[in-house]
Amino acid sequence: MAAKTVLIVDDTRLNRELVKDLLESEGYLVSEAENGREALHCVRTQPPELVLLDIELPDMSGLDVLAALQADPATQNIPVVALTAHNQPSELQRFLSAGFVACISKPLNLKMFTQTIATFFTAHS
Amino acid sequence: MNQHRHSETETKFISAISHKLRTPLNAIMGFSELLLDETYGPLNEKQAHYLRNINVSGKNLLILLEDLIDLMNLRWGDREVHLSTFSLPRVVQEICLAAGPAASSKRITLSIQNDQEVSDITADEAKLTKILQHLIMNAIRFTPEAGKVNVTLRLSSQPPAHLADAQAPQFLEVSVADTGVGIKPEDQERIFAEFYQVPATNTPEHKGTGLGLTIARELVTLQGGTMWVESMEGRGSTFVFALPLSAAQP
Repeated sequence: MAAKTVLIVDDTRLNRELVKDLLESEGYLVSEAENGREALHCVRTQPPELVLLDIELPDMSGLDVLAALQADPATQNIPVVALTAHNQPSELQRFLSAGFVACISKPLNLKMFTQTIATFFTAHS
Repeated sequence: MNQHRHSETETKFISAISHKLRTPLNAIMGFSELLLDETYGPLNEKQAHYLRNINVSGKNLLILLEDLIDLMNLRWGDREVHLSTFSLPRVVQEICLAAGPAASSKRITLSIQNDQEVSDITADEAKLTKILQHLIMNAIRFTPEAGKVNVTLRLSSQPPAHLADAQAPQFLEVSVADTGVGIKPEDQERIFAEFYQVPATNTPEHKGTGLGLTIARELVTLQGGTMWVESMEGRGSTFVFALPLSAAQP
């Protein structure tokens, strides 16, 4: 069975490294992007099965990246999870309304994080 | 208008601090946990011990950050009360469930007393949850091995003595009683001041942020209520808060 593919988009290198190492140790195939434009390029050239998207990116916001993915028929069905250091309930609600399938707050609880990702793939397979 | 704009600026500032600090905490807590899970090979005792120190310090820093953000929001940010109707016993049970591991690690019995069968109330659920979390965690923290922590729920149509002038259709009174170390009379008011911790209890096993009671009391006051403590040194403490309930039970 082919490994499940995930794209992690975060401008903080340490956050990308943590998520990549963690998910790779669980058998996922992980690619990285450090800004919005790179994220859109990655999704269009090598569509992953799941995108983990930070909200605060240097060139555009995670919400804009999501909107661009939703506007393109080729990418609109790829599920996107917000991975963010925002944790106010009103902010998280705003992200969910925008179309993120889930919001995960940083700092990550690693066990809960891997469980959420695994549950997600089970539910969508 | 000015007041409103002021509060919006402060809220943005508070949100930015929270965001900026959470990002490095993610790396500190995440990488130490990844190593502790021995994903990349076995650790010797010293390495595991140091990594646990790093991980626990990260967690404590996160708790301190959350308490500070709550306090800043109370003082300068969002002070709105959001009313909804919810089951109070469910909220208390959920908090006790979450506090279960902390209690059982000291063999403390956690119980809920609800003789009047208080059920749905109309209040600010998020604020009430925070208040109860702080009181219950504090009670567990200051209660020695094999002690007891009891939460009592009461409703009354008469205002409690501490809220004699208040007018409302109903009053909620919640007490959290412990069999802990107790509080000297001269400390019973000071413990509500931010960062104040009774010197003798300011030890690693009692570690807290020193902000919990300040936050809990301010959250109660914000809703028109009051909080006090009844305690005898060596015999335990009972923290009580009373809130006017704006609408009668549905």
